[in-house]
Amino acid sequence: MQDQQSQKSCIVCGMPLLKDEDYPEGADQNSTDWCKHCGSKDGLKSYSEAVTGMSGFMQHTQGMSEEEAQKAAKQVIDNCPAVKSGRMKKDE
Amino acid sequence: MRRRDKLRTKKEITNVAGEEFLKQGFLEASTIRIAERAEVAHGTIFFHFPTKADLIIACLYERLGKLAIKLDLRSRKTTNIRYLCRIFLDGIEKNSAFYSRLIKDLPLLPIEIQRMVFASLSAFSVHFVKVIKKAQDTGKVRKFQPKIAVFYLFGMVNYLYSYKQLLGTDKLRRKDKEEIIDFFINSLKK
Ligand SMILES: [Zn+2]
Repeated sequence: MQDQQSQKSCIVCGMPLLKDEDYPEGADQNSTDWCKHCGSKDGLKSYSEAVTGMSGFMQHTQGMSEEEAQKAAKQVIDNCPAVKSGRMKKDE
Repeated sequence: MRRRDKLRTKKEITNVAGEEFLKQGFLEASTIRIAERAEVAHGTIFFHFPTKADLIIACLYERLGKLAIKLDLRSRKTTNIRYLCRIFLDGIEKNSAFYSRLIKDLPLLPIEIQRMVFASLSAFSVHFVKVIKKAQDTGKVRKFQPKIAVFYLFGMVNYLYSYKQLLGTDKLRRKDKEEIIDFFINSLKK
């Protein structure tokens, strides 16, 4: 089995970035540090778009209610490398 | 202390803490004992991890992150529900002691930690939901919200692993794994 120690992952949602298809359209590992769900080749989604997107994701994949998914998404995004490094600005 | 020493100390603390959490439980494990075993002053732990919750998160992040990535990578290659169930059960089986401890203690840990764990596990359930949707589109599987199937799969696995000792799960799953999966898959079919 191959080792995945030094793997690149999305700076917003943490998804492993393994293949070009994981990146936004027109982007690849040399151009972006985020996945196709968290931005385009031109830049990251806004903070509120990212929270909404992840909230929907949590509702579908874990079955959380909308309200709880919103809280969970906010927590994950608030602690992600993109927000911590200031590359994604919290719009509050 | 030099930076590299600091990093090494931090790593040693998380290693020892991981073992103690597994053995004693996340709530019961003592930071005094962790400090003793890691051969650092008690205060050193809190220099690196301001609260015990931070230490728990660091340990979980490492273990769960690895498990989630493995599940994600293996799941990407398949569109088969049966195979996905096997990937999940095998992944848990390989981390049996850890998962059992996690699933027993998690409801008692702070909600922030619960959210983090669920966010990690969605790396697997995202594939599961996708595959169910696809099977629904082709008419092989009944129409229902795919998340309901997630409730049943996780519910069943969490039952087996929260009562791992009581049920003798490690022995059971060897004997009954395929039948458990069969039953689950048949319940999805039209
Ligand atoms: Zn992402």
